[in-house]
Amino acid sequence: MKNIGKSFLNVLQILLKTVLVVVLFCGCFTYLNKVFYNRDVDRGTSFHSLPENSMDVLVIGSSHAQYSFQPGFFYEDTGLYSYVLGSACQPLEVSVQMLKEALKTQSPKLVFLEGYTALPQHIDMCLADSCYVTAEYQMRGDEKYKTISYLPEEKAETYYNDYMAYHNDWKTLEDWDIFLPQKALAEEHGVSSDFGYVYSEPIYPISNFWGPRLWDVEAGQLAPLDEQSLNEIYEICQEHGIQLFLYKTPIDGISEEDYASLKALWKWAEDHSVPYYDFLTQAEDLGYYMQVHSDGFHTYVNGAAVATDTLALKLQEMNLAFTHTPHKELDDLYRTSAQPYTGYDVNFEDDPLKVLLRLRHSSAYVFLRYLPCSYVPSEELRSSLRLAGFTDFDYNEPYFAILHNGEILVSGHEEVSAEAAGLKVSVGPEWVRLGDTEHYGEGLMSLAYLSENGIYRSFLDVEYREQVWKYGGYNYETLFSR
Amino acid sequence: MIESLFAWLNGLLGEGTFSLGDGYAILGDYYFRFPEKLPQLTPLSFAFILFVFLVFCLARPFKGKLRPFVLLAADLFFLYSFSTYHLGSLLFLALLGWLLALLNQLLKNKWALLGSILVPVVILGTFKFAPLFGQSILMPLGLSFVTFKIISAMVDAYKGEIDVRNPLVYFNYALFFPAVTAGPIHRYAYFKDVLTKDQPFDYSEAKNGGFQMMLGMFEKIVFCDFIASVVTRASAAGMTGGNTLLAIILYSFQIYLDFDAYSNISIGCAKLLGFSFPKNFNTPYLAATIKEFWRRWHISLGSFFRDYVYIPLGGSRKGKVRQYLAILAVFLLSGIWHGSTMNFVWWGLGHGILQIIEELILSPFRKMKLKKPFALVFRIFGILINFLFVTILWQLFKYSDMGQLAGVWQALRTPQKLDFELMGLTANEVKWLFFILITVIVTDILRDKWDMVKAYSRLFFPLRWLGYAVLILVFLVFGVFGGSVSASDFIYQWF
Repeated sequence: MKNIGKSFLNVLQILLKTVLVVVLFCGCFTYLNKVFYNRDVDRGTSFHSLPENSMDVLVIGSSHAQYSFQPGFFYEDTGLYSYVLGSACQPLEVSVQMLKEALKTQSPKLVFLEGYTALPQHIDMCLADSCYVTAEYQMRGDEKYKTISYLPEEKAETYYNDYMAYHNDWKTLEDWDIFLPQKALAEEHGVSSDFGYVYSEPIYPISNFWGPRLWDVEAGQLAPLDEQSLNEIYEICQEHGIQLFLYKTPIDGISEEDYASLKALWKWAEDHSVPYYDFLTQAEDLGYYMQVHSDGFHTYVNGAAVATDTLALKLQEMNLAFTHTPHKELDDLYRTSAQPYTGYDVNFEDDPLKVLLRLRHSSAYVFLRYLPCSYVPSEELRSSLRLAGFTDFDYNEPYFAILHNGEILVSGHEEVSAEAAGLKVSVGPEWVRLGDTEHYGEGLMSLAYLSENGIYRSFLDVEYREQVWKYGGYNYETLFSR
Repeated sequence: MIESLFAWLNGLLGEGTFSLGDGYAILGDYYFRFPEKLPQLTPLSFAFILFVFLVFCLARPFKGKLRPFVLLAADLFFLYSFSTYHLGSLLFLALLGWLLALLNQLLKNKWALLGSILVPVVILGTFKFAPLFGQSILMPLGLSFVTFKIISAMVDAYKGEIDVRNPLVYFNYALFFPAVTAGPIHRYAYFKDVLTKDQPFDYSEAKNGGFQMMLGMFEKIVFCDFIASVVTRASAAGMTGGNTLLAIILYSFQIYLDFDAYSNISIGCAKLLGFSFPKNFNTPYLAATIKEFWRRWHISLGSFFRDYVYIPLGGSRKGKVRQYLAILAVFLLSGIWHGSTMNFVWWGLGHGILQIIEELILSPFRKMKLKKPFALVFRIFGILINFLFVTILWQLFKYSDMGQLAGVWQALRTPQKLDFELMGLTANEVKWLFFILITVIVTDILRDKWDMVKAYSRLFFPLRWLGYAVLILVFLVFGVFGGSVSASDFIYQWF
């Protein structure tokens, strides 16, 4: 009897201690989940830092949405607030979850849905599970878990749990960073002025293909999961009184099969009375040139300008009633959101024509100076300049111009001057004068850039004698002054 | 001949079961698996922990006759989780071993024993040396270790030291899951004794067993795999001499921690189930001579070679020359057992030759008694020299390609700067690396004197639990798992 009692106590002791160890383990695990999280604040945290119900328009889709829609331009065009919720190769079923997540804090009137991933032939071009990385820090709770559940099982494991994905960050964290709570990090970062727009290449080029999902789909048909997701998005929009709008930006060399699938997407839109816009068929009318406005896949900032302007026009046609609530901080952010890209372009773009075209959307002044020499600009360049609006350009004569917001204020074969950013500015054979300051570049052809408020200036000297205009401007010398 | 054998087997088992590729004999997917998602019970998996806990709960309450059945079922299920191929192969080998042990028990004939030993040795050799003949056949899990156990039982049965008539005990012995993949090589007599007699449940032993098992996992996932990642980075092409030297030193730590971790898991798991296996590692790098090193390193293998090779060859009883030849034979066999390529032969012979040189140099001084401080200084000197030799020989173990080894030598001759950035190590990683090395050295010095697991279990309980919490936190943060990384296999698992 005594032995039985002792054995019972032993068993009880083991059970109790096992439970205690499990509790201790779970406690540590839970605590570490709060310590290790995605510290990349570029996107997800930015969206969650937006004031509640502030967004008028959401743009949802793949990287083509991220590149093609510039919320800053859209604000200038319409005065509305917008945000791009996209990620590389984001399938429509993930877009459903993205929309659901957004509706937790926002009540938009319009959703632009980008349809790239409905094209089956292009899925295999996609880099990986980067959309899940995005999902992982843009989504919370059920939406996040549903999104991750679309991943192959072995890959999904690492996304379910922040701690599992990020505990190796101990290798790079600074001493006290580790105790910085996620919320504080988000607050510290605030709303990012890119509003989900991506200028450069995706930041997560993970080289794992996430496997075929739609490859068996016949051309000209939507994949069942895509159709189901579209229906779901449609129903959510109906339920919340949101206008849905589909679009697809142009891509280079689209196959017949893909185009047939795109038509199936438009067919779905027509069947559901959802408006749509096919940039592929309208590109030429819009003045959208594949080589000028995109890298064949993703739109450059000037391509984004064309796409965003067009969507803004479409919005006007829809006559939607927005209950827009102005928000000073957001107004400032949207107003300045396009500026950094312009400055960046001027300094790093290697094709003067592209610079000029992009600057059309900038609240800035551009100064052009061309002096003839023994080198004759190519016909290609001359036609490019004519396309940009310099119709009286003659390579045998000097040429000067001042542009504002892409519009030519003044141009001619002799010195030109104008009022710009509160300064008297002029451009001549040996100078670019901004008020009392005189600049002179080394090259025979110069592009100068002056921001609207006059504080951002940049000068590009183009050594066209070294054929940079023809081959891409790799010998630019940039003078910076702020 | 192999082609016709494969053709015959394919006719019997289905086309494609066995095939000959470009220099490869590939074993096809001829195995049944249900359920398909059954996880492999690798010792580092969560499934393994659950499995051990379940076996513990089922096996410990049963006394006497039922327990062997429960344990055998667990052994078979464990192997089945890897594939029916592994299960089938080892079952066949165990059956063969049992029949031969039985035969030796009955015949007690020296030639019959030698013939019997040859059977598992030839089977093992076929798998091990097939690559030399342009073939590669998937090695059944733990084949080497099961072979040793089978030979050990045959010899003991021949000597009349054990009775192998009970197949249940024999199969349990041969396939005992905590030790089947990489040892330790335990003996039949002790195993039978524990398995068949009623064992009173010893709570503190079981607790220590569980703790030792967890410590083994900790050692592998937190310490060993991190060091392994540094070794990989420091051994990459284009490293400085300093980095290469670091990689060489760290490899000694890696292989030790890897195998010690496995042994801790294995011994801890066996302890949970009531079997007290002796230590397999006893702070080997604190050995001052090669001879002492082999008394501390992979002890069960050393004992096996001592009992079944060294002593039968005469040991130290038949003069110095015979003794040295026996030593060389033992190490040659040990080298060949570790791998089929020449580097393992050189590695084994290297240890043998060093041990003989040691004998020649040290034997005149053996009876000298030094005063304490001098003895300590000599011992430390011995430890460092011994570590140096063992570390150099590990490089033979690591590289089967002599060209790679020459590359290491070449790298050592480049400027001796230690460049952590070149290895891609962050400042935190460097700190952690040194913390691990210091911890391993300090705990080894302590382990040399005390049974650390027992000592820990006697700590005041709040301190003990605080220690558990710290270990869990360290494990969760610094463990090599999650994201895009996962723990690597144990080095000895597929030997």
